[in-house]
Amino acid sequence: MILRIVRKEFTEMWRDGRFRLAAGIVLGLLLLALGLGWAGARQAERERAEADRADRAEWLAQGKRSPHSAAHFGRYAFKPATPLAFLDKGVNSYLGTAVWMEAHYQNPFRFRSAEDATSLQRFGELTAAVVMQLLIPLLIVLLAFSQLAGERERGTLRQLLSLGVQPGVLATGKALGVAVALGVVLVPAVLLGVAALSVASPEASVSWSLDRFLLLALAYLLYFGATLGIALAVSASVRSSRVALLALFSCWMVGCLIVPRLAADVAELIHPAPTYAEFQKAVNREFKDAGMPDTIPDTKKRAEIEQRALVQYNVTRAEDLPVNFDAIYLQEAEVFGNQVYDKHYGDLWDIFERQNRIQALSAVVAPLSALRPLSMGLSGTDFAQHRDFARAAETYRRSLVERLNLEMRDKAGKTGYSYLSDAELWRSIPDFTYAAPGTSRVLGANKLNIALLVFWFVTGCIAAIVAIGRMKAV
Amino acid sequence: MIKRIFRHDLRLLKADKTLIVFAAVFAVLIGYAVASGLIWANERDELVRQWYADGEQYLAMNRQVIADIEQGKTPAEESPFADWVFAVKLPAALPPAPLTALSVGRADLDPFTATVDLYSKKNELFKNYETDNPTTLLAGRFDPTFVIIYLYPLLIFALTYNLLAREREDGTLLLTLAQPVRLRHVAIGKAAARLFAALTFVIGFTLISLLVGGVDFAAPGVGLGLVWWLLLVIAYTLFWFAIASWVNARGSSSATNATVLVGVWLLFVVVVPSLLSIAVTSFYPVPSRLEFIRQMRSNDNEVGRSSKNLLEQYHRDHSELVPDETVNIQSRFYVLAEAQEGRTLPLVRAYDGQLTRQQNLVDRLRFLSPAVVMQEATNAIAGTDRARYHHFQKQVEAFVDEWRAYAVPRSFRQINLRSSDYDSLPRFGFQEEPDARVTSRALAGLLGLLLPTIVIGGIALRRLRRYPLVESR
Repeated sequence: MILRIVRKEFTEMWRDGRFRLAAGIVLGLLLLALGLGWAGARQAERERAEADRADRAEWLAQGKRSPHSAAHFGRYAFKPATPLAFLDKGVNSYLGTAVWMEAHYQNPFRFRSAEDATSLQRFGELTAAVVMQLLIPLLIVLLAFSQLAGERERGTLRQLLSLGVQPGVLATGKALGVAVALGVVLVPAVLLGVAALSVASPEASVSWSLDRFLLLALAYLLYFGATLGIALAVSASVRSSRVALLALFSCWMVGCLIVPRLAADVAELIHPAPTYAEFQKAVNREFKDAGMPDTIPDTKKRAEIEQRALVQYNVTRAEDLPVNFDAIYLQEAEVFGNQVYDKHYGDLWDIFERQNRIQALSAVVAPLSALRPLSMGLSGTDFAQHRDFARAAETYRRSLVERLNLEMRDKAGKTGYSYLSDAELWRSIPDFTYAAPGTSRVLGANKLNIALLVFWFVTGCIAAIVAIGRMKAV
Repeated sequence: MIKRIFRHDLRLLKADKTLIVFAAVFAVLIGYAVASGLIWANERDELVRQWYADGEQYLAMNRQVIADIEQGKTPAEESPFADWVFAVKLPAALPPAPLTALSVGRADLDPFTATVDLYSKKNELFKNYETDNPTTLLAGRFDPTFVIIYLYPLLIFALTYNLLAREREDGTLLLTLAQPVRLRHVAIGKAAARLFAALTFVIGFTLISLLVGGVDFAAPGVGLGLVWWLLLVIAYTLFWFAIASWVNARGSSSATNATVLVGVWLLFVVVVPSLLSIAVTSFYPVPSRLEFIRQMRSNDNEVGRSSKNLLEQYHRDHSELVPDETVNIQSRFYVLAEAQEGRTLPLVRAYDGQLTRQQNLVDRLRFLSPAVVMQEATNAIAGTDRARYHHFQKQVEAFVDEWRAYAVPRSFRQINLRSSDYDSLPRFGFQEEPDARVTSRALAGLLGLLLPTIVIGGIALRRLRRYPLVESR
């Protein structure tokens, strides 16, 4: 019975010129977005690999220099794009791609691609995720709004119900009919996505990517299912198809356009973040209060550290120290600075994550607010992923600076800053490597979003079945 | 006749509560958007004020330290470098334009503060990014421009999608046309009624919200800017009404009308801007930022290696500055900084050049979408477009030159500052752009909206002649 309904619905939709036109446009946009995203991602990865190579070359070509100068020259870390970033750019455009790892400072990431763009950027970028999150629901609304209300207006609903079709069967049949019609658009796109993935990523990460791709597909299916269920429910409950269409468009406008922005505002209101000026002032004040400014060493603090060094090396005078004292002081300042940065950056990023949780809570009103963070998380383009990379880069920075400071401590002796190291030392320090977090961690961080998405899917199904069950034939 | 239809339709709209519902929706959306915009603008204002205040406080503190040493209250060894010229840090910031509340534009992305001192490099002046949550930046601001460009057309559609189709579906259209009245008059009358309602709500609620929000209409730039903004909103409204009239004139059912209207909205507001963006970045691709970093690092290395040569070169070029061969460390750093800037600045200029070319192409192609036309014009009025930011950047760079003219000779001649010198240091003051630029952009936007409106309206009226008065099943 269900299959019969599905076949009838699909044939009717397929013969409708409007559907073919709309589906063709959406499919075209989706393929365009996929193609552009994939080409852009390949280009970006090529540039990044080249930048990594060049950075190592510059690091080795420093010539003879004191270890502390080398620590100031530092290294650059370039954020790699995850293989699925071509599907969903997430917040990457609003985050820097490169960070300068130098002594004394935990620098912010620089060069956000959103800045290096014209004002058109504010209209949003056309990615596969945007097409699927905004346009496919519209297509679903177009296909589903007159499924039941239209039948009632045409008078065929009475005949249909008189046949004794169960509401559940009718609901499933109609839903599957729309789903098959939608499949005309989605299946080619999915196949293309899988093909792009296998071509783009290196062997090792294909399984990682396919895992996530399947989970992404599942998440989007839940989202589409929820939209379809709600659309059918509205179509069954409302007097005329015209009102159904209006109501569904309004829901789309509120759920996809208004709620995300409103939620961002509310989140900022509840958990305000410090401004740049406040952040800098707070950090500088901590340094000043502890007497450890980065440039001129404070005499009292320096004396304290000197005392400790004398005890540690069992000598009575600073001149007798077997190691270079300036380096000891530099490392102490470094350790102090690290805990200051840990605290302030940690607090700032915690506030961001709390804001994101509030935004995710708005999914109670709009399923897109649950899908979007999940989609970003699985594609590896959300803030949590960036934070992980920043943390890894910071860990490397600390180990790099410590290595250089210790070199100065052990080898510089009395020559101090005039002691010069050469490429042998630069070569001996390993490069920065990074491994992205696993899928289970992403899923764990997105528990709320997954739950809300499932909730919406179940609600959609139940609403559709109940509404069809309560339908009046006339 | 049209007037009678106009009044009658308004009465109908009032009777079926349509007007009340729309009034409420407009009030809420616009009220919230204006409030949100005003809050943002006030915060930005406060940040700029605070930046200058902090800068002045630092200078005052330094001045006090020098004064104390001069008066012998503290020994000079405690702050050995306080009176050196490199210790002076001068604040510069871009204040928000009077009508920033209307459109946040790019202003939440571009760094708007800078500090100028002896070692400032023009390629590194603007790196103070605000600590904004990237997820919030991605979502975008709920400002009046967002409501007008994205949501307002959808509301217009809700008002007009069944302009004629409803009467036809109800059967009253034939009855009406049995009277001595032409179809086009009926259509114009009904459209005018809804146009009047929409404009009253939008303009009324915006002005009320701005008033309640405490905007001073008499302040310089506010009155004129608001007038331009209102004219643009009216033109934008007329455009979408023209589109709605054309869709109605095609004679389809109201459901089809609604679908086509949403499709047109998607085309102009989502698809065309994205395609435009792709087009401009393909024509004028921006050089790779990562390559830029590599060049910068390579320059730094090169400069570091050849510092001795650089100093000699500087001696030769500026023999008037260096009385003898010994150069103090402050001046040495300055020479290195200037050399790094000299090597890296051309890269920055090349970068900016490509972006400018991209923006110029956008300026020419923006007439393909009313949404882009509206956004560009509104950003110009609100002072949050790229042009004003460039204006600010140029002024800060000029100020760097001004400061160097003051500080570099003093640095090389080892002339340190006295506390009285601190009272006459140059300060940065932002000069607003001439009004003419904003006016020309707003005017171009207005024309870019009105001309297509007239054309589409004409097509709609012509199409009405073939309007099917009876629905074909």
